[in-house]
Amino acid sequence: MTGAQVVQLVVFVLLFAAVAVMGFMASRWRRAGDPDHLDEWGLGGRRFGSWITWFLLGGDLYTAYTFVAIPALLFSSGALGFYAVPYTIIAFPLVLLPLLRLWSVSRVHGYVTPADFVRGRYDSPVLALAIAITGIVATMPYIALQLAGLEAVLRTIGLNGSGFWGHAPLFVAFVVLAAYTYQSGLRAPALIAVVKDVLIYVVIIVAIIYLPSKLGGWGAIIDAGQAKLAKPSPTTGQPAGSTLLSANNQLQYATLALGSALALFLYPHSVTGVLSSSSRATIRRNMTALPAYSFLLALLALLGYVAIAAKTQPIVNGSTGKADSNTIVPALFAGQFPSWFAGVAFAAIGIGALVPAAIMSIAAANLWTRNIYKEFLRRDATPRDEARQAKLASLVVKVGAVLFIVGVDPQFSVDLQLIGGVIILQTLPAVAIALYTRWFHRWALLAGWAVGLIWGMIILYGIPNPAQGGKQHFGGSALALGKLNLFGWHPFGGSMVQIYVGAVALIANLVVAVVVTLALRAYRSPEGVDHTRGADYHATKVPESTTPDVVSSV
Amino acid sequence: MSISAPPPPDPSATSAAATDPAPAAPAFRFRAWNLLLLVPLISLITPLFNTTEPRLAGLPFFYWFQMAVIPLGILCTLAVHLLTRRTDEEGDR
Repeated sequence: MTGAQVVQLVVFVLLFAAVAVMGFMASRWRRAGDPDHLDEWGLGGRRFGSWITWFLLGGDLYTAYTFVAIPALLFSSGALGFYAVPYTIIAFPLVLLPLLRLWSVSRVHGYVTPADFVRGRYDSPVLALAIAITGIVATMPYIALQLAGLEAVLRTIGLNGSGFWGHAPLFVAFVVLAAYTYQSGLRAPALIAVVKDVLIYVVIIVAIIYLPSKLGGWGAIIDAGQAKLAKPSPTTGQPAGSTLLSANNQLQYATLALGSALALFLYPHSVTGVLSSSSRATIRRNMTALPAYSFLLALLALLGYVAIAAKTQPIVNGSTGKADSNTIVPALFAGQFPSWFAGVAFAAIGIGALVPAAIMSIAAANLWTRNIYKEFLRRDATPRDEARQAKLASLVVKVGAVLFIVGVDPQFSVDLQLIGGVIILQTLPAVAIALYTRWFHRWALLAGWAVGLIWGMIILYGIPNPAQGGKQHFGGSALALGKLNLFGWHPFGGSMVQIYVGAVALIANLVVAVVVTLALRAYRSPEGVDHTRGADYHATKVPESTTPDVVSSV
Repeated sequence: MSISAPPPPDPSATSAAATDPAPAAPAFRFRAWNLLLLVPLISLITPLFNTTEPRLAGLPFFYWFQMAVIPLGILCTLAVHLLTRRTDEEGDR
């Protein structure tokens, strides 16, 4: 370790420890109800106001992984990586109205997870189980990716050991995280998210003002990016990318942004953030204000080009022996900033990993407890049993995520995240469309879900990536339309225009759901009882019998 | 469930409310103002902005145009929030 790295490490550890103390103390913050009730542990008592929700959702959606991976994507492939900006621009306006309906119906019926809603709407524990399992499977690699982001920082600081014990610093960080999540539930990430955001804002604003002035301005930075991206790659002979989109990847850019935006609030952890807010007004204000983060994200994404202009090299991962492009932003900070400020920046990214990892593990634990444990294993579980079960499940989920990072190449967790995005999108008809209409038959939704999932996986499996050392499978989420194969029929000939796999799978999902619904209706298959009523979707207050004074107390 | 009764209709939103049959428990409420939420989708129409010129502070048009859509999106969402607030609202502020 160099002297500069020691300074970075000391600053990082100090900030990290301060945050851990906050996490443990959060259990006493604004506590009103029974701490052993799942509503308290898993949704923070459903009483977060506008500000806390803003920080919580911000911490949830703009994660450490976003901070390291999006700039890394611009660094390696250019303009396509900027899709994250339109994605976050359109997401919040699009989901505003559905989320209000989900909040109201969940409040009236005490739903904790999206699968709870599906269960009530379609009277089908099996469909709810499918939604719950999809949510858990899609969330696990997401948590693992947060660890990858945290580890990128730790390795840049110099904690870049080899083999199994090379991951030891990560274990320490995660034991701390697991302990305070167990203790404080959703309150811990909500409180820590405030610190994380302040740090991130300071770091980004400094980076965006200081670095371009040091490197000759944005014009020079973009030109340096274009010059490097245009060079043919030694492995494929093709340019790596461009600072503009090509004729072939514009559709991919738009469908990836749209698909990601639609998937965003299908992820269980985003739903947890929404359901923990105290009122419809809180959600409305938040969907208005959350795009302010997009500006931050846009500036951050451009750091990928700044790294090119500063001739930053990614750090070689001590455990895998391969250059890890996710270290590009930490390496840029380490090379350009004074070491104490680089330490602050690393702490911002590290804490940015802990907040979403905590929320995601809570969301996955809620799904397990409500839709699998209580539904199929112990029907008579009390709220106290549920809370205990969820706390244990959150530990299991985190241990699983750590094993994941240790056991597989970090690149593989990126692949799984890609798959996660495609599969969570397949719950759109059963969760989001169901908020508006019950036209689809419950078994048709299950059939569409299965077809979308399976076909999506098959397509992803078949996409190679020659730029990554001749990778044969799961090489990305862009499908050339010419490769689209419907039982041997190629509807788009040899077209090289690319599209997001999730969009293709979702269309197949919807087509199957429509056809099967019509068929089942012709056979008069029973459709179950809808436990929700029209007025539930606009309800502004909670029935007195379940939770008194929740709205008035904020 | 008595508290979940629909809020009183907003007299200022007559044009949108006129299309609403307003039964006791409407399952779906349409308001024309809500269409403003679709405006940010302009950032998906890549042929509009996939060019380098004109640059702003050295940034190609591709980048600064999309960054400019961010405040536009916020304004549209804010407008919908403010214009439909009274019919939707829960009186908590």
